[in-house]
Amino acid sequence: MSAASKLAYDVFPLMVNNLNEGERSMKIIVLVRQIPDPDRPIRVDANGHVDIVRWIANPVDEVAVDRAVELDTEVIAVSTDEACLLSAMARGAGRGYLVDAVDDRALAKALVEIARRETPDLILMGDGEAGPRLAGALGMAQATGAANLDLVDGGVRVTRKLPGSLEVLELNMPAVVTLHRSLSVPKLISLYAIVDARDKPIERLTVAPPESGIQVIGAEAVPKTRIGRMVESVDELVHALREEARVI
Amino acid sequence: MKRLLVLGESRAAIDFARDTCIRFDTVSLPDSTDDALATAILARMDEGTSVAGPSNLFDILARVAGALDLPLLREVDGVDGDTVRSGSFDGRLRETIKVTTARAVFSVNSNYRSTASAAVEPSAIDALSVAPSTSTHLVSRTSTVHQRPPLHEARVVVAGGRSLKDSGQFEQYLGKVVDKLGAAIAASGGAVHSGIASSTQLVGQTGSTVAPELYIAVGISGADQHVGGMQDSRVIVAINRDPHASIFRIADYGLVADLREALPELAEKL
Repeated sequence: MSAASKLAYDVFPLMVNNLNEGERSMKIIVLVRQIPDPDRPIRVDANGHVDIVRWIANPVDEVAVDRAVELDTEVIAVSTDEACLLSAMARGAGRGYLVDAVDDRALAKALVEIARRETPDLILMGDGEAGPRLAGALGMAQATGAANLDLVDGGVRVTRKLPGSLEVLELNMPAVVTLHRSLSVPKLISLYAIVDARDKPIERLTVAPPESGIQVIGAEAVPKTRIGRMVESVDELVHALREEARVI
Repeated sequence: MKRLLVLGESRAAIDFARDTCIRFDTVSLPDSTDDALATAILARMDEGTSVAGPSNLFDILARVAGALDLPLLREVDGVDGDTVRSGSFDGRLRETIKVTTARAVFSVNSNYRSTASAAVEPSAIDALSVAPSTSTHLVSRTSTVHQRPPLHEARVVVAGGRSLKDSGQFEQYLGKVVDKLGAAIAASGGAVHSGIASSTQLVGQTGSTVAPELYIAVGISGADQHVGGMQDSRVIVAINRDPHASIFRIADYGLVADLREALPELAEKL
């Protein structure tokens, strides 16, 4: 390998891999959700109203966008939030769907509708309820907790990170893949990309909310408080960790 | 609840079942893929059957909930009649939720324990019969148990300070506890600067910031520089010979002891 092509391979490995594959033949839908900012508090007032001080784009979902774009496919972003959608399109998604959904169940419903229209090969997102819920509703293969994924002939090969083991699965497409939550550092995006994203098309979609079947009658924020207790012996410590903190 | 199907043999899910219904069926899950397991579970359910399982089966529970479009109650750690205590946003919010449908899917926290005083005889456990998936194929599975997890991914982190003298002692005293807990090993700035531990193990403002379920600080005084990298851990344990060490102020459990005695005993009793 010449020095120049070696450099190209190091810098653009996926581009080199896909040079002979012609037009983008695959379509990936990526979901970008909002989560409460982990560094800001969640408050609940006396009436039980939950106040999320600040929402951010779920970083694992953003990594999913990055990964989909790297696979050199057509990427469609879905979000309940316009800023999340713009950031996904700045990462390289070609267009977006802005949906109304109050929870993961409604979100899965909206995704079912979008998947029926778009017939994607792959639906990608971070961990959580929406992915397996959607896979169940669509009857698609699922792989959760993916540390890595690659396209193989007619399918996708996923390395799942499980407690105590790594599992490699091959799924027929279409499939739903969720990324492991440790993949939480998305790429930086440039200002130019953000400006360009504003020209990309966004379609709004409202799906009738499902019959919820549940009713929230109370809420409390879980404060970060320390128990702050001195124990007298190792026995007492082990007992406290097992029975009180239930952490081992 | 009319009928409940309990997945797996976890104590938490079975205790939840005891608190919510008089009769329930328990099925053990064979080694198979999520889609095949969910299909087999759906075949065992009828119009009136709810499903409960431990939170480590969350992805299967969510798939079942999706297939039937049922509500999924997650991080369940309490029940009172038709209301459950459930969680969202990674446990940052607890909600009391009234279930108004005939059936739902429940993901039960591993710390769930029954409130019933009388022990209910467990129903017979039968193995779920599962047809292999046609769309998902297992290629390989490799154990990572003997490798220590990376610092950022560990559920438990055990950190050592400068009082561990040298790298041999560092491994000798911390290693056994770390491996018993499947934990990652970490170090304070003092330990790294005196060459006892590697800088990749450094937790603190100038190193890694971690927030595991359990953080055990051994022989660490609790300088701000270190505390800044671990104060968001869910449960913090401090073991130090000095009863005035500032680490005790941010710990959930403190033990004043010589680590050379406490750690071997801890390794033995875990």
